[in-house]
Amino acid sequence: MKDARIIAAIPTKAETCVLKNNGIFEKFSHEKILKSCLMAGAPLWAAEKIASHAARTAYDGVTTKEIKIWVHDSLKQVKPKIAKKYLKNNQLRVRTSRDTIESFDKSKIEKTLIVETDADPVIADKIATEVWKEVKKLDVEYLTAPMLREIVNTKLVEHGLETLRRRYTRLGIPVYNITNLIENGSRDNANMIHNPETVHKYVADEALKQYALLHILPNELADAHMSGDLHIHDLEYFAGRPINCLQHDLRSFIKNGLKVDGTGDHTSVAGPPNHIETLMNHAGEIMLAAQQNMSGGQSMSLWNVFMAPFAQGLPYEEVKQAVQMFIYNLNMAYAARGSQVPFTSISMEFTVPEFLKEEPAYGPKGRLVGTYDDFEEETRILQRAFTEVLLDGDSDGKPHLFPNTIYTLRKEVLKDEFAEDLKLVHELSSKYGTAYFVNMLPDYRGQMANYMGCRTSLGDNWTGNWDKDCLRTGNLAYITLNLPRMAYQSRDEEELFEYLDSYLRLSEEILMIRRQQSVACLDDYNMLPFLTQELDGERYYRVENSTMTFGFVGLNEMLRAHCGTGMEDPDSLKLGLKVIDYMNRRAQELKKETGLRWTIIQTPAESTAHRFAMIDREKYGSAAVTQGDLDAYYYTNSSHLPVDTSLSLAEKIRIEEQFHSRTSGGHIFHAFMGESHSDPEALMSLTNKIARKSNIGFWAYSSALSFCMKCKTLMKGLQDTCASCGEQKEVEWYDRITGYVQQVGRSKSASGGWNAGKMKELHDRRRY
Amino acid sequence: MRIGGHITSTLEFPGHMSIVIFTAGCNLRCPYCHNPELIPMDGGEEVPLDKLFTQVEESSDFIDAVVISGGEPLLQEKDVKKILNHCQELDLKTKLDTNGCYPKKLKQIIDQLDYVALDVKAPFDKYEEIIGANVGELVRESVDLVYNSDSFLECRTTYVPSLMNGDDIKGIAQEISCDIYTLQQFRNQMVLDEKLYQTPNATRDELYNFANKIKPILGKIKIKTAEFGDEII
Repeated sequence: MKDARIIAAIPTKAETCVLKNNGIFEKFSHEKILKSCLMAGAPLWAAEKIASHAARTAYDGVTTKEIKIWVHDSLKQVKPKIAKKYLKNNQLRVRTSRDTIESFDKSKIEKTLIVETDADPVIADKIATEVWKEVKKLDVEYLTAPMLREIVNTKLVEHGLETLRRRYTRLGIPVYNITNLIENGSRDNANMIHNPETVHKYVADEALKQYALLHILPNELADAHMSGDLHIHDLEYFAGRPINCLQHDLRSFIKNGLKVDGTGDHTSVAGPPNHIETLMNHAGEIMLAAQQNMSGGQSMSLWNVFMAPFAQGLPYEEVKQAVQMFIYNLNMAYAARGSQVPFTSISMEFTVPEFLKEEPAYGPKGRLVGTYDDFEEETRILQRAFTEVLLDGDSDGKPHLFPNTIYTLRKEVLKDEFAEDLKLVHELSSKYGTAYFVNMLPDYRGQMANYMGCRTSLGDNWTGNWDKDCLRTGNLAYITLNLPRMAYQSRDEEELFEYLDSYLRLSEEILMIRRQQSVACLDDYNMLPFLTQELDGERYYRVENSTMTFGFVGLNEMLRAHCGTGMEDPDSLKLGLKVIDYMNRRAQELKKETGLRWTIIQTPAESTAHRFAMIDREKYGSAAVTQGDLDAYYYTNSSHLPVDTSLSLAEKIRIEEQFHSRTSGGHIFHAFMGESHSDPEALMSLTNKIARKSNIGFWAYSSALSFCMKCKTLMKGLQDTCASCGEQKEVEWYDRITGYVQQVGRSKSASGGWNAGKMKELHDRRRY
Repeated sequence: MRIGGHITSTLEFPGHMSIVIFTAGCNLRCPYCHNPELIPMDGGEEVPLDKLFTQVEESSDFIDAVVISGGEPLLQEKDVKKILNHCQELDLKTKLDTNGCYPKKLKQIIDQLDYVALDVKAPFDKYEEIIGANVGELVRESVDLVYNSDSFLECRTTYVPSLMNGDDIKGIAQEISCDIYTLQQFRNQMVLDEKLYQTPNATRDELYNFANKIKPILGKIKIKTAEFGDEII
C-alpha cells in the first residue's frame, strides 16, 4: 500500500504521447514504467529513477518499443537478472486456448508438434524456430493460439508436410458465420427451429464435419463429397454418432424395465412396467434415450400388438387417454439434437399378423400372459384410439407432426371386417395427409417389413428371421450418388456404367469406414451405452444386422441428360432400371465379399437434391439438366417422376412401382392427385387398389395444409389469405417435405422451415 | 372427340376414384366460368376415341369411375355415348357433368349414368338476367328427367356475390328436387368476364348460412370451398 501511495504522488509529464504497437496513441505514463520495473524486481529507488529518466527523454510520438529498450538498458546497469526478467515480462504474449495469457515459448510449439502429429524432433525444432522468426517480424504485443497454430501450419505447408498439417490444424467456424447463425439461423433441416440449442448444434456440427472430412476420411473420399459426386449424410455425426436409425423392440423393455442411460449409473432405473400409462411413458423415453446415441430416427413397429396386453380389460376411454399422453409426449419432447422434436415413427397393425399369433405375449410386470393371438381385440382398440387422437389434432387444430404413423396393410386386412378401421385412417389421410401405408401383398415381401417416416426400411429377407432382421437394428448409414453428373461426364452407356461403378466403389469405402467407426464407438470408446446394454442375453443393438446402403438422386435428370427423355419414356426407363439393377448387383456381391447387409434406398434427399443441382449448375452450366430456376435449382428425388409430371396417377404408379422391389433399403410413393384436398372414401378405394394391383411397397397421400396462426383456422391447400380473419402474413403452410409432413416456414413469425430447393419444389408440385 | 385433358380425382365422383375427361366446347358464356379455355368448340385438342379408351383402360386398375365434364359434354353426345358404352364394358361407374341445356340428348343416355351433376345456375326465370341465356326451362326439364331416373342427381350452383343474392339461392331451392344440392364458392382468380375480377370470393360463412336456410327445403346440402373442402351441412 505504501508503495502505491508513493507511486501515485510522483508527478508525470502528461503532455507526451506514446505510439503503441497497434498504432494507437496513448498518454505517456510514468506510472506504467514504474510498475513494470517494480514487477521485474527492481528496487523502488531504481524504478523511480528509470521512470523519471524516461519521462524526461520521451518525446511526442515516441514508440513503446523505444521506451522498452531504454528501460531494459537502464535495468541492465542495475542488475542483469532484473533486466532479463523485465524482458521476459514484456515480451510477446500468447492468449492460449486454456483461457490464459502466457509468454511466447518456442519449445511449446516443438512439444505439441511431436505429441499431436508424431513429428520428428528435428523437424519440430526446425519448424518452431522458423515460426519464432516469423513471429518476431510481426512486431505485435500478443498473439492468439489459433493465429500461432496457423503460422505453424503455413510453415508445415511450406515444407511440404501436409500430413502433419492435417493432424495439427485447428477446426472451427468463422466469426461471421457464428454471427449469422445467431441472428438468422439455418434451414438445413426443416425439423429444426431457431434457438440457442440449434446455434450450439450448428457450431459444433461445423467442427465435427470438418473433423470427419479432414481426419477420418482419406482425401480422395472427402473430395468426392465436397465436389458433389456423392453425398455423405450426417457428416457432422460421422465421427461421434455414426449410427443412423433404429427399429426398437418394445418387448425387450416390457420384460426388463428401462435404464435410459443404458447403465443405470446416472439415472433412475425403472422395473418392468405394470400399467399401460407407465409403458406409454417408457415407450417415449426409450426413443428419446436411444436418439441420444444415434444420428437418425427412432421407430417402433408392431407397436399396438406389443402394447396390447397392457390394454386388457381397460375401458376404451382409458386406453385412448394413455395413447393421447404418448402422442403429446412425443410431440412436446423438445429434446433431440439441437432441440428438435425427436424423429419418431410408430408402425401399427390392423390385426395381429399371422406370424405373431403364437408368439409369447408379455404383459404387466414383464410376465408371460399368453400369446399375442389372445390380444386381437386390444390390438385393434389401440390402433383405433391412436388414429382418433391423431384425427383430433392438437389443441389449436393443427396436425400432430410426430410420430410418423405407419399402417401395415396385409391381405387379411383388406376385408369388410376392417372397413371401419380403414375408413378412420383415410379420414386422417384426407384431413392431415400424415398417415403412411405399408403394402405387404406384393410377391417380394416376406412376413414382415418395417419402415420409418423417412422411408428407410428393413425386411425379413436377411437371415429370414423377422425378429433378427427387423428389430433392434436399423440402417447404419447411407451414401447418396449424384446420378445426373454421371451422365454429364459420359459419352456413351459404357462410360455411364464405368462412372456408376467408380462412384459405388467410393461409397463402399466410405461406408466401410463409417462402419469401423461405429463398431469402435460401440466396442472401444464405450460411448453408446444405450445401444450396448445387455437385454435378454445379448447386446440391445444388433450391429451385425444393420444395413449399409447406397442411395441416389435424380434418376430422371440422369436419363434426360443421357437419353434426351426422362422416366416417362419407356426406353429411358429401361436404362433407369438397368442402373438400379447394377447397384443391386453390386450390393449382392458385397454381401458375399463382406458378410454385411448392403441395400439400396431411394434417398430422402431433403437438402441433397438441392445441393447436387446447385453444384452441377455451377460446374456444367446449362449442360446440367435440373428442375427449378435461377433462384433454386433441384433434382428430382431418387427414381421419382418430376413433381410437375403430366402423367396420370395410374401411369405414375406403373412406372414408380418398378423401383420399389429394387430398393429394399427404403422407398416411398407420393400418391398425389394434384387436388388440394381429397375425399376419404375415394382414398380408401385407391388404397385397396394400390395394395392389390400394384407393387408399390410404401406410400402416403400428400395433402397441403394452411394454418392461420392468428385465429387458428386450419385450411386445405396452400392459401395466402386466411378465409376466416383475412390475415395474410401469419398463414403457415404444411406439406410433406420428402418423407414427413413439416411446417414450410411461410409465415412471418416462422422459425425454421424448408430450404430454398424444397420451397421451389413445393411451388412446382402439380395441383389443380 | 375434342377434349381439354383428363385428370385423376378423389372428389369429382364422391367416394370413388375417378378419371375426369374435360370435353371442349360450351353453348353458354357464364361470366364466372372458371374453365374459359374450354368454351370454344375448337378448344382443347382432337383426341381419337381409341386413344381415350386406352388411357381409361390404363387407369382402370386404380379407378372406380369415369366422369365426363366440360365444357358441355352433350355437345359431343355421340362420343359421350361411346365412352359410356366402353365404361360399361370395363365395369366402371359413370358420371356426367352438364349444364342441363340438352334434356333430349340427356334422355338418350340417362340409363347409362350412375350420377349426374347438373348446374342450376339461377332460378329458372332469371337465367337471362344472371348468365345471359334464357335456358331456364330446358334446365328444369333436365332436372326433372334425372330426378325421375335411377341416376343419382346432384344439382349445383356457383354463388357469385355480385350477380346473385340469398333470395336467388332460396328461389332455386324451391324449384328443384335432387339427391344432393351443392353450393360452390365463386373464386375470382380465373373468370371469363373481366369485371368479375373485382368481385370478392364467396366466403365459407356465406355459403354456410345459405345452406342452413335451404336445408329444410332440400334436405341434403353440400358446400364446397377451396379453403375448407367439401362439407356436408
